[in-house]
Amino acid sequence: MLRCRSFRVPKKGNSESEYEDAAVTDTALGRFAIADGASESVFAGEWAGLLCQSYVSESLDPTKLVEWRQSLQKRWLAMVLRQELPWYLEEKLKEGAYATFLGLSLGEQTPTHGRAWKALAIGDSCLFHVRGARLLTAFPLEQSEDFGTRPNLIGSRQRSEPTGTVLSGTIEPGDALLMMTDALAEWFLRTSDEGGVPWAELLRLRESDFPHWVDGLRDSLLMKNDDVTVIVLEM
Amino acid sequence: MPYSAEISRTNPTCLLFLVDHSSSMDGPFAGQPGKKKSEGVADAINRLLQNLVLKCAKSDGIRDYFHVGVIGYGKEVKPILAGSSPERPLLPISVIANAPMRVEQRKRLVDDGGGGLVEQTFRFPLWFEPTAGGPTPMDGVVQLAKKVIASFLSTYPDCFPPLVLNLTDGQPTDANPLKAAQELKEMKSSDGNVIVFNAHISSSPSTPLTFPSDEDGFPDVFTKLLFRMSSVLPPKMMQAAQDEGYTLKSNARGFVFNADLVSVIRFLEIGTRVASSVR
Repeated sequence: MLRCRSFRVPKKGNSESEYEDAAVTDTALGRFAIADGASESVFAGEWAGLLCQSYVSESLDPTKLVEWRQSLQKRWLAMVLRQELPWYLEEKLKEGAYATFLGLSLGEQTPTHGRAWKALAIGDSCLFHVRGARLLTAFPLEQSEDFGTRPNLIGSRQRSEPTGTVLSGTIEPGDALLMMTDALAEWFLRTSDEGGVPWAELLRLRESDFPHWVDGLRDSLLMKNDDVTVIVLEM
Repeated sequence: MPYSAEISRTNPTCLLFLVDHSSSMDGPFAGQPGKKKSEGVADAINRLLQNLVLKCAKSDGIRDYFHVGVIGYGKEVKPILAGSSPERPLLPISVIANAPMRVEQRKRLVDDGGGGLVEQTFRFPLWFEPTAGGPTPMDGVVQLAKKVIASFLSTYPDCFPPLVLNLTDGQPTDANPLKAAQELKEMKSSDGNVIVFNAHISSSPSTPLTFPSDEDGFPDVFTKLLFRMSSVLPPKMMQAAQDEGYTLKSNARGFVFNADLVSVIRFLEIGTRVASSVR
């Protein structure tokens, strides 16, 4: 049995409509994705949404990143050109939108009740696999120092070779998989590096508690102010 | 830590350019016979304004992270940015974005994605024209800058400190601006003191003096004056200057002397690198 919850809170100072992360889940298909739109780019939220929706509903082959990106780039352009744009948006469109991306797919339940998982990561949105009080996997970043301001990104006008990393594992009953964008991921990994158990709090939260809990982290400067998106999967 | 305030729509910062409009600005930049100093400066600031607009542009509008003013000083001392006036010397960047004086079609070469270059037309908005004619009332413009900055600080007392950039090619003809400049540098928000940069633009092909830390080897009293009018670079701007390839000693000031066009552009870039920290 898989329990899936997702939480989101926009950057403090921004409205809901200005939120640029995306999260899409499909428990039946066993496919989940999050993306973090780069705020300097325009229509980044739309790009992040396209990436996640496509991964979850279209069965992406991670070895075919170039084709996947190309097809999404066409869709993004069609979406944004539907309106008359002022000089500055026309100019910014040429650079395109950028995002980080993390996709996870779960295999069938095996006789031992474990499920294989495969993840694809571009940038610093992270996957954490936890079992009890142990952090089994941190992917693709392994320590909090690895978070910088220039992560690997996938872009809607990008022509250079797209690069992603893949990882697989197996999830057992009682385990949890957490996917989160960089602001929360950095807090999570740093807390774990320091010997803490950050998932203990997260797993106990109800959806209604989430914004208040995030405010607490931001106000005590434990986490930088940015959009926060999490998907929590528990077996 | 000073100079670390988050720049946001509710807590914007201020950029104020003081542009010399004296007659000598009609002369060419050193090493660029076809380019008047007044044209080079106008182009550089217009391009900077475009980049600021792009930095703040989102799909649903322009985020007002910056309030910007350009004050010309020559025959008169007055705000010259399209849409600004003596009553409204600073404009939020969204107003600037939507109301250029005119938009030119220009061409540039861009990477065609296949290893070659292709010509691309783009729209180049302009917010003020090059002007040259008159004396150099530098004390007058610094006094006005103090008023403009004081007003901004009273509305936004916790802002990332305002930056004032003075671009001149010659000596003041009205009064010594040093005291006014020191008073300007002493004004502050809760995040730190106002930052004052000075660029002296030259027609003579001498080596530019960039971001000095002391007055050693200064050729004259005028150089010393501009140095003393300039702020010590805050750490982020020190870093920006180093990223641009400048080697700096500690206590380096926001000052370039005998700047050519390239140095002016790089100088403006460094001063406004703070704009890159908005997300």
